[in-house]
Amino acid sequence: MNHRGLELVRSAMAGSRDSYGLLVMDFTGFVYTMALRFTGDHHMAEDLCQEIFLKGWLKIGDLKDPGAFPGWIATLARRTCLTALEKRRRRMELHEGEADMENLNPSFPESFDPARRILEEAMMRLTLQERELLTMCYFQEMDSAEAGEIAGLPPGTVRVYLHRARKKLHEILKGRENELLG
Amino acid sequence: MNSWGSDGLEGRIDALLRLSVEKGSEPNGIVVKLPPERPAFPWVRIASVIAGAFLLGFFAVQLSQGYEFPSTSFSLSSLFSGVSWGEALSAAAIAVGVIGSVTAFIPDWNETLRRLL
Repeated sequence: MNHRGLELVRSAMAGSRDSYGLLVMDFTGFVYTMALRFTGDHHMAEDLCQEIFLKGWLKIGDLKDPGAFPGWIATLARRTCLTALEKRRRRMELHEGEADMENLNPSFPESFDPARRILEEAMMRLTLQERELLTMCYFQEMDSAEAGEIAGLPPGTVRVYLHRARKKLHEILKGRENELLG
Repeated sequence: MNSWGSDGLEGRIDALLRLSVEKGSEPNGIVVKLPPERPAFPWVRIASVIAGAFLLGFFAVQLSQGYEFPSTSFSLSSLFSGVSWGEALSAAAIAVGVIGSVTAFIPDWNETLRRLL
């Protein structure tokens, strides 16, 4: 995190709502994308975004190290998304696992540009774990050790999963170069 | 994060993945609403008002009894000796009225009282 970010976290930890509001603005992109890739549902991701940041506001006083904020918010986002997924699974009485995600007809926001939409559609064809790791590892240059700590995996396993996920993504998007460049 | 291949597609996917988690990558219209900040309970002000009310009440009682202030003993037991319930109630009513009138004109007090109520 840069100096400004650290100052905002310190101030939010001390109870400043305004500083936390600025942090929310900085991290909404990541948290929303994480929720979208977990759920495949724009509206659910929007609600989860609200829930995650609200939980964060209530718990930020417990954070020990301001520099740990990105990992902390990622952990909070992951746990909240997993709980929401579990609730949805129970509600829909789906117990077959991640494969069912593909049958839920992912919904993306209208404002996504075509390249982003293509990327998110391709992401939904990866496993939940692959989506999660790809999202975290591109967030603030998080390394495999940090991502592994959040996801409960050894760094070596994270690297293997990431390599596999990228290869799959490449296979899915092969032939669509022009659309992605547009 | 390094790209993982040699052709342009990997580089483009790499860039898109990075862009998708950056600040501002969320769709338009996403607004996170935080709960309103809970006002700190104004203990100092409350204490000041109670002390002010006490003094006002005291002076009101003294005036109503026609005492001369310099000769008044300021010990607590003697302050209100000989004060009838009617006088005490009148003094309290005056104090509350004065304080109420003053605080009604202070905007942040209005806000605090509104939240407390």
